[in-house]
Amino acid sequence: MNKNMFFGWREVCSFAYIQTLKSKAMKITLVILCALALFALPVITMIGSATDKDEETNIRQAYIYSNESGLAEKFSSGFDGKYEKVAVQVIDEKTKDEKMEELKNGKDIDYIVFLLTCDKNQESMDYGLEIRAVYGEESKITSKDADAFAEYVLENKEKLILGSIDIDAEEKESLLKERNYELFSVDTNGNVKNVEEGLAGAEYWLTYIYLMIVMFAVIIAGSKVAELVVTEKTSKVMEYLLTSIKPLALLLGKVVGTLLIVFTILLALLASFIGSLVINYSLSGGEGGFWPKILTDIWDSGVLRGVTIANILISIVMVLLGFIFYGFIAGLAGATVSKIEELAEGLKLFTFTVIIGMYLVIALMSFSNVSGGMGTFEYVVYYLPFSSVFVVPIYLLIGKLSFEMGLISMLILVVSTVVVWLFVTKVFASVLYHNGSVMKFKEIVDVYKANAKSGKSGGKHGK
Amino acid sequence: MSLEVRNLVKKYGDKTVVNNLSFHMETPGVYALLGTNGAGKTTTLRIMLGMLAFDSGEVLWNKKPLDPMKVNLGYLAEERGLYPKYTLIDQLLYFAKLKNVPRDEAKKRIRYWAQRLEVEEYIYAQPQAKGKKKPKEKTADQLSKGNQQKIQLMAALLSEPELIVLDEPLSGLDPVNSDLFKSIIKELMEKDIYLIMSSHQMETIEEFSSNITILNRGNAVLQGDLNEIKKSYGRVNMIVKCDDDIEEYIKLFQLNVMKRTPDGYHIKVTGEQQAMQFLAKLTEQKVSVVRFELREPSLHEIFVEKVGTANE
Repeated sequence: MNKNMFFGWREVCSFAYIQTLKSKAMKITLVILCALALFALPVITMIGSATDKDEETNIRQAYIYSNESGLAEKFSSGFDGKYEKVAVQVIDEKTKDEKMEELKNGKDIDYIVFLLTCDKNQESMDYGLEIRAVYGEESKITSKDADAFAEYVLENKEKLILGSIDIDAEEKESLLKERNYELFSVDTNGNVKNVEEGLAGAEYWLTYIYLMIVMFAVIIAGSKVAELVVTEKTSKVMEYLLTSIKPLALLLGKVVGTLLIVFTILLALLASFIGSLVINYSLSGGEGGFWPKILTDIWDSGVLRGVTIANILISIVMVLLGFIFYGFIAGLAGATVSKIEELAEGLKLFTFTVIIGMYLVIALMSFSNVSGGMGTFEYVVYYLPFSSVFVVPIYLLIGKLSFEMGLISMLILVVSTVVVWLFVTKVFASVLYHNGSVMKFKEIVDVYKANAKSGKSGGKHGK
Repeated sequence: MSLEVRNLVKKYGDKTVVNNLSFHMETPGVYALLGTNGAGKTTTLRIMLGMLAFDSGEVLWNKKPLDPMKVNLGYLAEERGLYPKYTLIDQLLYFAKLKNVPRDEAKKRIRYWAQRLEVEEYIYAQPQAKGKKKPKEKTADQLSKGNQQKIQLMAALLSEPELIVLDEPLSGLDPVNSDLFKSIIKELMEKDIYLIMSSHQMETIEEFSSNITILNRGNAVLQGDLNEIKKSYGRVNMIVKCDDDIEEYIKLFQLNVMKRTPDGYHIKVTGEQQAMQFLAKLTEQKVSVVRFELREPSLHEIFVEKVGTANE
């Protein structure tokens, strides 16, 4: 038998992975999550299309009147969707009065009258555009029809007004596309440089979604690592295992195994989501395209302008390192616990570090929108290993962070992971034999000092 | 091969739990570590297995520092442990894999030991009865404590180790399973294996081991070959059972009665000569002697004496 210090980590990894996947709780969770990912979108589409059919408008004609010169005309073109076939006519005051009169008793009436006014006095209570939609109670048009149409007009007023200008459809579309802006400054030497600005809408939400996904994945994976350690410790299997494998290889196997579980869940969810897109596409008969609008909008908006192979690689490495970094902390936290019931208490340190990392990123996101560049604080968040994993990968991909800064952040995370690993190496075996109340951080440091002083932490004997 | 523990010291803060302990095994066999609770037996075994840090000393295997990762060793821990919710076969295959045993070989060995330890029905799914649900392989939490102990002994033996450490192997076993374990230990003894055993059960140690160390509060209070130790005490334990009352003769000889049982008087004598004189007196007085036994002290007696003296 000749084993190196990492011997057995793969066996531990595959055992942890297979046994976790074989557990009933995992199977049920995975089935529920995949079912949700697979069927949620098609069900929403089916309900949506059913509702759309119910809500097909009864309005066939819209009369628009405004006492403001030209305002009614500006709203008279460009209706789309289910209002595409609604005939629109701009009417004068006399016709408006006649149509309003007709509304009183006409059962066969299928039109609606729009009254537009625009108060330009900024001091006035009624400052701004006012839309009044009038329909006949006895007419074919229901209040629901009228309400939906009025809402549509209000929501699309910019688009309708733009439609009245003499530009073609392509120009109109490009003008309406939401894009971010960039700021440049010129110094006294005439050098032009890009100025850091806050997060635009899509960037903000992408960062936020990434932060939430990675944070929950780190918490779930970390808790699982700690749970596996505590289970082995409390069931006393650990003592047997340590005659075959070094503590660090044992911990590394668990961290990687748990990481694989998280990726398996994510892959299963991704596969289910793609499956749901296929179902959705066939249900809608190809209408609206394969990819959901929200995804095409994100891609089209150019928000992912930092997507390069180098940035993708750094992002992947950072996410993996982040899991390992936090996995080691969680494993150590698990080893400080003697009873499974005390696991939550033992995980305080781990949870605390994750939350600190998360809040630093949220603070960065929020304050950078208010004040633009944030100087030192910004660099702390990018380079601190507790927070960098939650922000650097996504900032690289949306082009908020340069490749060089990403690389530095990654290197710091590598060094930090090695430091945590060395620390855990010194204390893990000793802490594993701790019985009693949950160890405090100071006690762990004392164990580290004692072991560092003696220079022996179990394993090979002799001088 | 040889095993040597040299001047081992382990401290927890100011408390020395193993104090300058040394012992060695030059040939295969069974070495016993005895001691009261907290004497330092398990700590010593954990240090030997590389699980615990220690302050000074050496553990040598074949004259080189013992590296548990490089020596094929088996361990039955005092605090038994199995994964409660995983199937036994999965666990055993995993343990075998960590010991570098190929899967097919591991399956063969599991089959052998399952038969030997009479636990096949728990390890393998039983055939499906007609009209009934297919039985599943058992998990550890479905087993009795004794059967869990058998599974753990299997885990310790799967790699066919050259050095085996059994920490209180018979504690908690019923007499039938205790005999089963003893028969396995005897089987192992025939294979030229180095076996270190700790136990509270003195009879068990006497049955298997020729070399012992008695530990008390981390200190070795007695060490060496058990037969030699006993010989050094001499035959000072006399058991006499007679049909008549012998109280007056006991007083006459000023003998020290340790206890009186239905078996007779258990008397401590100064040596064989005093015992023979006492027997001669009884015969001379025509006392009907039913039983007369003169023997060396038992390990139990030596243990109690040594530990008791050390704690006084």
